[in-house]
Amino acid sequence: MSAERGVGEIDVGSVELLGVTKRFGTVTAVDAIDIQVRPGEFLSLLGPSGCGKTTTLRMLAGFEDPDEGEIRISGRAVQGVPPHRRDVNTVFQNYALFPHMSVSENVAYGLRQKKTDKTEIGRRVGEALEMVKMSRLANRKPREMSGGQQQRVALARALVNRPSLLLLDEPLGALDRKLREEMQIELKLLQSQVGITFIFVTHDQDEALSMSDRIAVMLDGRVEQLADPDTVYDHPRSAFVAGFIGKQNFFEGTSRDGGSIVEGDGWTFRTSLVPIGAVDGHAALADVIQFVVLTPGRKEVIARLPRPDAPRLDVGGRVWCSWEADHTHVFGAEQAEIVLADPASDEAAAIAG
Amino acid sequence: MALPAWVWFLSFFTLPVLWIVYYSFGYKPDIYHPIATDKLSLHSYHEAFSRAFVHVFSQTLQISIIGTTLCLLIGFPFAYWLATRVSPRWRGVLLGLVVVPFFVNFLVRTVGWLILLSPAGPVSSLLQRWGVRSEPLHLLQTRGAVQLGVVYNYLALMILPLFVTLDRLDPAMREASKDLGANRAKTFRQITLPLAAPGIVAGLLLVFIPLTGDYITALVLGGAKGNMAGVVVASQFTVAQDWALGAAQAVILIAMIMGTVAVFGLFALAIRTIVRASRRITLPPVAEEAV
Repeated sequence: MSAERGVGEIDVGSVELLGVTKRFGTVTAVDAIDIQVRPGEFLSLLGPSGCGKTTTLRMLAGFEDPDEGEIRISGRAVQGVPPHRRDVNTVFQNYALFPHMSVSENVAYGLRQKKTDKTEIGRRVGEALEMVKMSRLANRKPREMSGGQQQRVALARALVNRPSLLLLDEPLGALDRKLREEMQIELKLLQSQVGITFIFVTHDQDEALSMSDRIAVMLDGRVEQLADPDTVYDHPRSAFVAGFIGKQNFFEGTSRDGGSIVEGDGWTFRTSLVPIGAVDGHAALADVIQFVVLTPGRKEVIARLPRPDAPRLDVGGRVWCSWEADHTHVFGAEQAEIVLADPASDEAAAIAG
Repeated sequence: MALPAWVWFLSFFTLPVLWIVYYSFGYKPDIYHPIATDKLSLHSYHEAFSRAFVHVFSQTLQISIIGTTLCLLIGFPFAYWLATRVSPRWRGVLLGLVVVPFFVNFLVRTVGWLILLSPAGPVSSLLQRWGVRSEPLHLLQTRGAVQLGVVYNYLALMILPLFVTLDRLDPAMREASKDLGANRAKTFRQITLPLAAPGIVAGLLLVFIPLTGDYITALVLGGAKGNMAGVVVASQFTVAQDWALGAAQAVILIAMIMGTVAVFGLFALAIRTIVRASRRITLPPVAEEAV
């Protein structure tokens, strides 16, 4: 694929969103976002539903026009360019395979629109189906296939056109957990193989963390943080990002000594060591055991320990929890509201170890 | 469980039709009796194929084919617009407006046009007042009036099945098509139209079959110039009291409807075969992957 890129086309596959705003009536779905995507990058747009990630994707595909700002794909402004003339392809949320066409006819659709020679179509469709391991089902109709198989066909149908940008709208959302994890790995391998820029929309933080080169965490139409997965995970820039990305414990109070001590209504403790509390309950989740610990001041702390290391604790037992000091992040009071308002924080848990 | 359906079908459809076929081989013995079947012959068919009746049959076929086509040409854009562009709230209102005229008796609806189109009626007088025409409009008792009437009377039967299929068509289909490089016209031809085909076929049958046999519209609006086969058949049974001729004409009408549907079906099948063949692609042989 890279051989096709001339020296002068160094920008092929780059994406720039400059102050892009989109409103639906009185609702601002996307609010002056700036995102730069490098050619060949795997970027995830991560956020809860209604954060503007899908609208952003639809503007890139050409299904929506931004009200303000500029979108550049491969260095060219795409304002007013209709979807069928953009060098962009999309993998739709529910795959949107054409039910009246077979797998190979679905995959051939894009090439046929470009009046590609028939034998060339046959060759490329064959390659694309092989790439997603679907050659055997080339003559099936979409309704005769499982969700995972349809997913692969949708991927082949988009990639066969060799777009400079591939958009993926929660493509793994409808798959069961095991298949989803397999597809995450495959998708990532595929992306490095074809070298196409991927923009991946998801609300699943694990998915974003495991696949992306960079993640743009979005909230209320704005980008909260745009960084690589490690940075987003270890150094969340806001309380929302911290709460959305991981399972965190939040303590509301006044911090002292640069955040190492936190003081609340009737309680004070070092932020890396919670005073002795009582085990309120525990639950085994896949490969971790999760404990709920009630500390003085009725603060709930959630501790998750890997299964082999987890001690056997009874409800009511007295324990203390501690964690490394640099796993603590202090956010300004103005952000407390955001976290509390977000339902995701209901299940916030600690990475205490 | 299927038994009652068969009993129903047999006693209220098959037997009456067979009865009509039987009568069509009979004759009218004298002016006091409408039918006699002691001697069976093709005499009534000879009479039914006389020049005057053939003219009515061919006119009926023309009116119903043109009427069905007009229903499709008007109904499809409307149903498409309703299913894809109109907000769900207004969709209900507009669908209601399509259906409400059906609450009114067929005859009453048609008579409404009689008033509307009469030389002294509102359309005629408005056209004269605006100076479009200098004399009263003589639309009634013409083939044009019947054509207009049948389109009005059967349009809803086209719109409803079309709306249902187009409404169920996932908008993501059209978006995926455009995303893959097809413009609006190509998307319509390759995605929307084939996926709406069942609705189109349903609409065509629902309109064409009753329209061809319709006699109220032609009776009210057509007169001698806008005659349809249904009127002729009805008058054999009622006015002329020649049931054998009426039955023969009814059989011809049924055959004409079935024949037209069959020709259309073969035509549609041929188009589908051609479209499918043009879409098919041959993949180069691949080494069978290990499973």
